[in-house]
Amino acid sequence: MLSMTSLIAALILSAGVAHAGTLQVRDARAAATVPGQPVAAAYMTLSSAIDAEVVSISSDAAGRVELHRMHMHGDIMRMRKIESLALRAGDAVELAPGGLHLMLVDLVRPLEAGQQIRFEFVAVDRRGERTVTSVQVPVVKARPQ
Amino acid sequence: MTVTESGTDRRRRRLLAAMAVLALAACERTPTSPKFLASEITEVAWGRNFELVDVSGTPRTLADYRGKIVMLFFGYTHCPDVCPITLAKMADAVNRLGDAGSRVQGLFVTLDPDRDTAEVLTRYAPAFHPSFSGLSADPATIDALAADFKVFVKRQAPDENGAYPVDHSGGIFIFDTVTGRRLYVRADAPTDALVADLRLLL
Repeated sequence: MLSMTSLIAALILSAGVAHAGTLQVRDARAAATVPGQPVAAAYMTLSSAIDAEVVSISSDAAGRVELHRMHMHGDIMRMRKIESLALRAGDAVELAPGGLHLMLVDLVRPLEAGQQIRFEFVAVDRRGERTVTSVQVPVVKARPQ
Repeated sequence: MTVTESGTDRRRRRLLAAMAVLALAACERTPTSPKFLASEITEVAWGRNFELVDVSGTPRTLADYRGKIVMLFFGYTHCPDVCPITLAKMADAVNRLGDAGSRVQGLFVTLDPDRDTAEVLTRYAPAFHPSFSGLSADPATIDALAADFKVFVKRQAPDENGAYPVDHSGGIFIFDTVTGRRLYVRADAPTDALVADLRLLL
């Protein structure tokens, strides 16, 4: 028998909104790339109504989407891939330049400002329920200050 | 008839003499440097030149850009935000300079020569601004050059997909090949500051 959560999640997904009961994605944008640029970055704010973990992300714009954290150690920029992102109920986690970001690898084509690309987030909650959240994300010009 | 100088006259004479000395001294002093927003590194012993290869395989040193204001940036193409943002900042600055921008030469030196092949660099640097050029060399030469410029670089171990990050420090090195002045622009400097300093040099 289907659990109530899965049923609700399925109903919400079919309505096409960006928060399938657990994961909420706000202020999402991907940075436009130049021809020849092999990777792209995307930023957003993630939150979840219940404790959950984002375990995988994919996009129609790239062969692979990875989650990375950038640290500054003095002048030195270090970027490290992280395998999952824990979201505590009610907390918002910001992905922004200089910090956490999504890295799109094996771009299908350069990202052009004005396009919309799709991301799918797979999150697992404390009870082991998996939800898939699909989001349309605008591509914006990567503006230097 | 002797003319004695009054105390006031003597003081005035000495003051005029002192002012004359100061005025002469000011003329003989070399022109002071303009007030740059970036750090001036003209006098430092390091980061003075490079021996790299461009995308056509031609060796390049600073002398090849004689007459230009060179903007040199060390980065890698698999860098998702800092490198594209810095190159975009450099391109923005050149565009804002209008005609004078044709005297500025943007150079992108890869810290990841294994992935950033000539084929990759041919498209990447000019995509930010058509005048920008990508330069490379073998990894040992790149590492030695980065060390000379006090640029930190460490290529990490590849992951299961063969991908790896390159830890590095940012910043743009500016060479005025006409006056020999050199500047170091921090990675977080706004485009306005870069434009202002380039205008001072041009």
